[in-house]
Amino acid sequence: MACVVTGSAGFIGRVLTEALLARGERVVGIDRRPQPYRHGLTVLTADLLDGDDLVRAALESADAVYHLAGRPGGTRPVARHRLATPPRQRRGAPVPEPPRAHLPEVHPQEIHMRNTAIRLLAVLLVLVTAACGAEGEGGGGGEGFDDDALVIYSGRNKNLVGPLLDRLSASTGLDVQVRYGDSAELAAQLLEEGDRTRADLFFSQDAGALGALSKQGLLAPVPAALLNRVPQRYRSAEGTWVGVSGRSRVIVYDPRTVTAPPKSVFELTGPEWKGKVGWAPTNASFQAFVTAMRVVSGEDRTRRWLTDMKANGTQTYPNNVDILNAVDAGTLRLGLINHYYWYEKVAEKGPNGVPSKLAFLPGGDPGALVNVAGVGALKAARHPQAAQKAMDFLLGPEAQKYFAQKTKEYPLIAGVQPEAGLPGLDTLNGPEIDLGRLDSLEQTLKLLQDVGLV
Amino acid sequence: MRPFRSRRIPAGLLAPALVAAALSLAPVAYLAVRAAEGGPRAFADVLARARTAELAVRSLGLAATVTAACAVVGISLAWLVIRTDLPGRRVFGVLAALPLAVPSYVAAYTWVAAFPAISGFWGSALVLTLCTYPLVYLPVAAALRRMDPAMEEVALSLGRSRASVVLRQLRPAAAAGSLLVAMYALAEFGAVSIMRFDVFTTQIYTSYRAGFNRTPAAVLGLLLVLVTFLIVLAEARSRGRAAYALGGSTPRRASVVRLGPARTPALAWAAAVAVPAVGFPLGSIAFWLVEGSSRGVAAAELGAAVGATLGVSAAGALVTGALAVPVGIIAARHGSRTARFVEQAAYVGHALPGIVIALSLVFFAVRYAYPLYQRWPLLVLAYAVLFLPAAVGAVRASVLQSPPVLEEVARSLGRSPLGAIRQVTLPLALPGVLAGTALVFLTAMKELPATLLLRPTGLDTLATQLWTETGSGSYGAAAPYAALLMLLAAVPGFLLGMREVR
Repeated sequence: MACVVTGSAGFIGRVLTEALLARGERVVGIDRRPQPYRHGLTVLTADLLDGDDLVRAALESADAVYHLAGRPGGTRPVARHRLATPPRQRRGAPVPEPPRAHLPEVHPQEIHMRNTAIRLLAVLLVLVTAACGAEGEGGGGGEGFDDDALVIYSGRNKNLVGPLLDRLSASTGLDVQVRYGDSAELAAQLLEEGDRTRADLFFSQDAGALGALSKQGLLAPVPAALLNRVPQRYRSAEGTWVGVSGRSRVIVYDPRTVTAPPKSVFELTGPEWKGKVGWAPTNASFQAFVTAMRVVSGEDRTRRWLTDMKANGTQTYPNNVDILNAVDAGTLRLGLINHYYWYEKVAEKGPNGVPSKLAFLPGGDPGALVNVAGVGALKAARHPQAAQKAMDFLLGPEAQKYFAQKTKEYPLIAGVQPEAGLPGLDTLNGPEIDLGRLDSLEQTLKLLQDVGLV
Repeated sequence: MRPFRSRRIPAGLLAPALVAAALSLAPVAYLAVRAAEGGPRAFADVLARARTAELAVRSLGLAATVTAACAVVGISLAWLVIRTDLPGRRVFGVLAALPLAVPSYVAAYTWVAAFPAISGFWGSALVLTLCTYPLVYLPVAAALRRMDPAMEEVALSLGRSRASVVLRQLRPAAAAGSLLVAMYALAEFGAVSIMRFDVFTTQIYTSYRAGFNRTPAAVLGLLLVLVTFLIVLAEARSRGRAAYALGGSTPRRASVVRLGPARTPALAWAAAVAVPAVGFPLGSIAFWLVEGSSRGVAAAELGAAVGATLGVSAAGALVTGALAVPVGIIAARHGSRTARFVEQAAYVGHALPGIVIALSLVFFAVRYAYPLYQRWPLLVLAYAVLFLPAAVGAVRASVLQSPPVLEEVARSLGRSPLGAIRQVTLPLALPGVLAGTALVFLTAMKELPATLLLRPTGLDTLATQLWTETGSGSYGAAAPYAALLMLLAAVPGFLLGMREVR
């Protein structure tokens, strides 16, 4: 009988080969390690994983195979080639079914862990299926897009304008889908989308983002009838967007430590305010204010002011809300913010929960700038008519009253009054600048970068 | 024994791995396109700014500090929990994994709200360390649990310290975890901006937010990719030829180190980590829940947000886990150039801020996959790009733990290379695959910037709701969302912790 012993140079392999030879069998010994020649033994030095032709021939012609090569990686680090297909599939000749190798003992804990693993994967699958099911039924909030709906990208907070935009749907009979986000990030998204956007209308927190879209030619002209409802300074010079609500820059101060708030932002560089003032240089409305200062007071004066402020230990915050909270907490004495954040906080906490007070700066000071939130319709809009209707609604008395009463902003159309307690929009008399002029904003950004603020 | 390295990667493994690599590199391609628009001048402008260098130094300093702190905290806790008789070690073992459930922006906010003076470099370092040290703790604990104590005993018998052997053997696990931490710290924006500390990513965000200009942002993004790539290379080099000492047999359980008089300081140390990392954010949220005077929570909105969060995160976790398997196996078993490329490509996404990943997917989807745009599959892909490295690390480590000899046995018995992987390697590595999937699951729940840009219109997750409420200053209304988010994310976090202390 012709026997093949794989792993014949190993411990058991050697003994087995001896025994087989002693019984007078002819033995082919396959091993990667060389072995001494013996009478009746054919030595084959080869790696089983190499798919060697001699190995294959030996296996195919054998009457019995003793498969002992249990640790093919035991002595050599690299098994170089793969066995493309098992030999019997390639040649058709049957190879004896090899004995089942014994895997090293698997700890019961490992098996337990594996079961847990499978169960948890199942749970994840169920969650996904459930979520998909919910989406299919229109539940769960993720309806995807609706081709007939007016799609609004809103950079304004859902809590602030959500109720108003809901009314838009009721009063115009349009299905409205709103995508909320950060104004600038939505603008970046719209720039990436280009003419393949799904948005019909962009509702931006500030004019700069609208200016960026306008500059890239993504916004459609707004009809003159709509444009003319708001004063010229609160709309695009090119007629591509229109402001819907105004917000004034103010100084928020802590009356517990400040008896006489400053009358101009230029006083803030004084030693009495050292380390006590907060600002948000990355904030769009702050940058619009710096632009205003550049226009009103000139490049050099602005640069000097920024440098002096920085040298005076002015504290940098990421946004207006944090500045306001810091003043209320007593960390700061003054902060440069937009007026309506204070009113929102009063609405949330009650008048007694907000110790700070606002100081509106007298007209002419760059710190009295009035910014706008505005809307523009996309050129690529699928529902241009509906977008115009929506703009009409936002510039109508109902929406303007909502801005006055709910968000405490300045209504921009004639005939709607701001909330009591706010100085009139015409008395603010802030500097007049083109809010959406991006080139000017870019110069401001460059200045802020030069000074090392952003 | 040296690791098994096969020269050729089976096509069935290589194809999905290349898909994963292509997906991970898509943001880099996008950045290259946008940066090229500006021409060489754009690069010159950005590089010439003094601020760029200053912020790069700040970012690297922060990343180095956080990584070092995480290594100290993670390794020390893992050792105490796995190897010593620390009282309550199981409880501490689970607690040590739980900070994963705390979104770093929530942690940063709670710290600043309670201690305004903390903001700045050290506040950022503190918050990032507390939120990310589990990324070191978990792999190190796993490695410690499986380490053969024989090595230590030999070292002790030869007069060397236990630490000399243990630390040496922990190096691959600790380095892999530290890599994730370093990349997290480099890409982080939310927490550091709340801590009022300007870093490199601040400039990227400023480019978008203030300048509406994508070119400088792209140049800065590419710089970030370059830095990350260097860090990944350094980690690969430190890993070098180090391999796990694995025989065919299951190692004995290591003997327990008696702490003796060191018990009290050890206990104090474990508590000193657990209290600020887990107790503090939980306490703050509980406080807001009680104090918040905002209007009551709409149960329907909360329920919908929970459903949406679980659904998209679970899908993200499954897809990421599935992509991580081929990449992880290739990384563990092959040493070729292709193998290294596939593994290193997977890490790129982790280093970029979420907004860059999101915009790149907008860019590609609008052009080449419009039907997917603003549907949840695209969001799921974003999660895969963002979180692939965490899953790959887990898969690679667990594949390394299973002896390659088993695969060779299967192959010598006639299994194809893929068959051997399916029947031998994968079942043995499954717990690790699952751990990676769970890690992605909980990380995806907390993701904000990419979710905001890519979610289907109208879909709100807990994280986006939290963003909405805090954006209008309604912290009381935000608290239930934050609490639920942390509670849900704590479940996989808890399982990950349990895995190490059983």
